[in-house]
Amino acid sequence: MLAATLVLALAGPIPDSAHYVHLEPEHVVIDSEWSASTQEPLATPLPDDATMEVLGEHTLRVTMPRDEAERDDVLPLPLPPGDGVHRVTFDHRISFRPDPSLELAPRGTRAVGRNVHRADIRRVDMAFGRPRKDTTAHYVHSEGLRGTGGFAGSLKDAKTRRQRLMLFASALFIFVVAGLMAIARAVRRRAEAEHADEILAREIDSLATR
Amino acid sequence: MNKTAKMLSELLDISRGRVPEDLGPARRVRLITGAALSSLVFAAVWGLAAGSTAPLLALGNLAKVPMVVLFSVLAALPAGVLAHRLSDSTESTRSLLLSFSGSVFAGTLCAAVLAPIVAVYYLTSEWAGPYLGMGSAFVSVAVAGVLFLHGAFKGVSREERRSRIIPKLVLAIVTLGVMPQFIALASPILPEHTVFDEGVDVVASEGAH
Repeated sequence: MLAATLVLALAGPIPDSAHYVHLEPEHVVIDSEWSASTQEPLATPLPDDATMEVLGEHTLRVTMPRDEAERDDVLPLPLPPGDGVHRVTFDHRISFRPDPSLELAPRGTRAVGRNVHRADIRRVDMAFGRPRKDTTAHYVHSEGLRGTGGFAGSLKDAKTRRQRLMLFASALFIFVVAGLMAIARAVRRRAEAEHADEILAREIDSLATR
Repeated sequence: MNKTAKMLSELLDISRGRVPEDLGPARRVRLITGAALSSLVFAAVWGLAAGSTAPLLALGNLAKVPMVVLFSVLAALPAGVLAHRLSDSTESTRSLLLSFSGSVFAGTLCAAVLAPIVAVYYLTSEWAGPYLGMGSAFVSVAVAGVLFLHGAFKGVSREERRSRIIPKLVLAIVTLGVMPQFIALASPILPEHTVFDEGVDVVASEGAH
């Protein structure tokens, strides 16, 4: 155990990172924090239209055009070199669907990729703080991201996805209202006959009791 | 009194828990569909008032607000009917649905009655309009909820009350639970951004901050 700790200390921190993806009117912004120094080169190159700013020794920000991010199947994360675990969280206005090939398994409010263990999650959360509970935190190992050059999946403005759903809901609404009107029309005659029968039965009863 | 006015009057009585004893199955179904369709019209009236500052929003609200009401109610029905079947109530499923549709009718009627005030304030005040818009919606939901639950206590024994209140609570809770999501789906309904525009995500994140 002591030897393992010593080896880890000599090798430096495990190159984990945490990324928070949020929207600006025209851009997608990725705020990243590394356990390693941001002076290190990126593990995977960023696309040409993305700009990177180093904000501090461990923090950096990548900004890319929104339409580009929505069109591509990969979210280009600024990853540190080496093998580590990377946590990605999204603003609630973003609807992100990870690629099924990543095989992310849900664990409560977390989605955990291959080769990511409980201890890795704890280490990442200790280093970068616990993720917000209102958003799904995705934990992916470097090997799952390196091949594609980022986090594979489809990113959309949550509103756009909702608008599509709204179209379907509108069609369903029309269908249900038409159904209700049809039922109302179909049952009208029977209800009137039932009502007339009730009145007649009452009249007969009152005549019988006289 | 013409047929529509008579039906509206009957529905108001039902929403107050006064269900006529001699109601046959066909008349119950007719009242349920009548209540549902009237509720949609009332909800559209409120929607028109709430979006009165922007013609396109008002036009959209004519369909969006009734949609929110209808889908929230429909989404709650399976859970409510199941709870009703599992509880030991002597009330028929049709009666439960009748009292549910009656209270939704009363709630949306309340919104429609408040609609002119909402429209006037939206058109004349930057400050009071949004408060009145949201406030009238809350009042309508509260009216519907209170009337619906109150119906469970009217003229029944203590044991029967217990078995009647469970399905009613399930219906009310599920309706209120899904409503924010349908509001988010249909947003914008009000001209300004509200906490319900993004559904439960924003409500949760407000709580997390």
